[in-house]
Amino acid sequence: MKSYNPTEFAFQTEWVEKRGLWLVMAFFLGGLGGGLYLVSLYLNYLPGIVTAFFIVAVGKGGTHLLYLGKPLRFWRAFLKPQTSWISRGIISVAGFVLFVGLQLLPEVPGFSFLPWTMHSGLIQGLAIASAVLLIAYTGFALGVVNSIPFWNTALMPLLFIIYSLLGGTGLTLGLLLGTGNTVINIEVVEAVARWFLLTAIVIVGAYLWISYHVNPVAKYSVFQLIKGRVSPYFIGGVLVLGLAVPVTVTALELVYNLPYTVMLSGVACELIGGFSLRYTILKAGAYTPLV
Amino acid sequence: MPRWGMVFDLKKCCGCQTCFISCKIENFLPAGMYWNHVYDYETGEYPHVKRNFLPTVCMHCDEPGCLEVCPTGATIKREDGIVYVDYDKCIGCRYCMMACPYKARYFNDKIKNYYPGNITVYEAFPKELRAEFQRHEPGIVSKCTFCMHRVDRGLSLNLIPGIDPEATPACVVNCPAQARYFGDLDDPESEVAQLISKRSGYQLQKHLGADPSVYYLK
Repeated sequence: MKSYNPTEFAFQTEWVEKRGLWLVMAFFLGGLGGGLYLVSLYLNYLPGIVTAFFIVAVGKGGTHLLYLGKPLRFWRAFLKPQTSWISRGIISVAGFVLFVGLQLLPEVPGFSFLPWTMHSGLIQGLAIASAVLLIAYTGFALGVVNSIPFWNTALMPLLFIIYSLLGGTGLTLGLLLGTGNTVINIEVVEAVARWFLLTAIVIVGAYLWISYHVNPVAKYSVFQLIKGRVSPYFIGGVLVLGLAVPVTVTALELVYNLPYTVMLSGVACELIGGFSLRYTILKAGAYTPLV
Repeated sequence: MPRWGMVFDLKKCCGCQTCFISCKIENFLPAGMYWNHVYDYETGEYPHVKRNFLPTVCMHCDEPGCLEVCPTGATIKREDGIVYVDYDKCIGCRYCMMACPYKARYFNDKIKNYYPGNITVYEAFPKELRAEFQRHEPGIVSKCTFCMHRVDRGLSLNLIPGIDPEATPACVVNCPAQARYFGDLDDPESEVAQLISKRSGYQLQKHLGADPSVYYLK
């Protein structure tokens, strides 16, 4: 028998504990890869696009397969995009791998004979559409679940999109700094990162505020993030490492010329924050009591 | 076409867990897997404490959230309202478990024996002789089926589910307190419809709009 009191809040566990951690990682890597691709494409930064391709194809795809109970049947998840956001998500992953792969193919030595280039309209358009769906679908997948009030908000897709773009910008910056780039203006990337950080702060704040006031179950979930069992990960991971440290680093960068190691540490903290955000939101998701 | 439903009389339920055990036996549920619960909880404060029982099964909702979110079509709703999982299609993503507000679904990470190192006669019962949804395997989600094998077999023998025991879910048949009723919710003359009407039967979490086929009587 399960020791569950139907008058009390019960947390979901399948999507965050044990093998569920693979799913958290899959959500994180999907957002990171999609965000990195979009930012790198905007900057025309080939190493970023290549990295994004592998993050999604190997990281996101691999961790998602590790999570599934029957991984060899994954192809069945393509079959119901008309109603299921998981189905739309797996289509976005496949589309991303296919179209970004096609986009990159002419850049591979020996494939320059191909009749398209990296910026061919149709392939690039489909790759961008796949990337947008990839960074958005997780938020929609959670947002439509009305049995868990903390997730069931219109802000959820926005939150995941912003965190994907933030992670993508951070990783782009990390790649640029780490590879000693001289072509792309790093200050532009820093400025974009600053705006995404500010937007993330506003959306995280709005999400917590609205959840706290909309429903007692969602309020309980917020309480878990701020003072409860998830608070070390949320306060330490999301608020301090994910937001406060990167904001401080980017603010200092406006005044001082910080060493690369400090900048890279800020990027690492931002990525930890992105993972922590997914983890804590999934961990704090509670069902409405039955009675 | 009927819409099969269940009614739980909370005044009669004594928390004996016979439904829980009969479901396990009927459906060959392995150790650690439960399709049928009777939650035992207290309300009030000393000295005005009350012990309560809340029996639950899959609610076989008319608008099941689990059906919509399933990415493979493994969750299927029949015309008679019974919702079940096609094990061959389930990939074990557990999105249906997130979407079910009644926590009525179970993921089998691995099939456990009741006694480590020994297989009981019950567990050794040949899979080919079981109904499809009784052939449990790891890595998929399963749940209560309203004993649809009994309902279907009963109907094929011109029996009436809810009246004839052979055509009625095992938990209903075996309840010693007769706290469970089964029948056609759409038939105003059925016992379940009459009970719901006369005793103001209510659904759990009605505000979520799933329209469960399980009603409770206070």
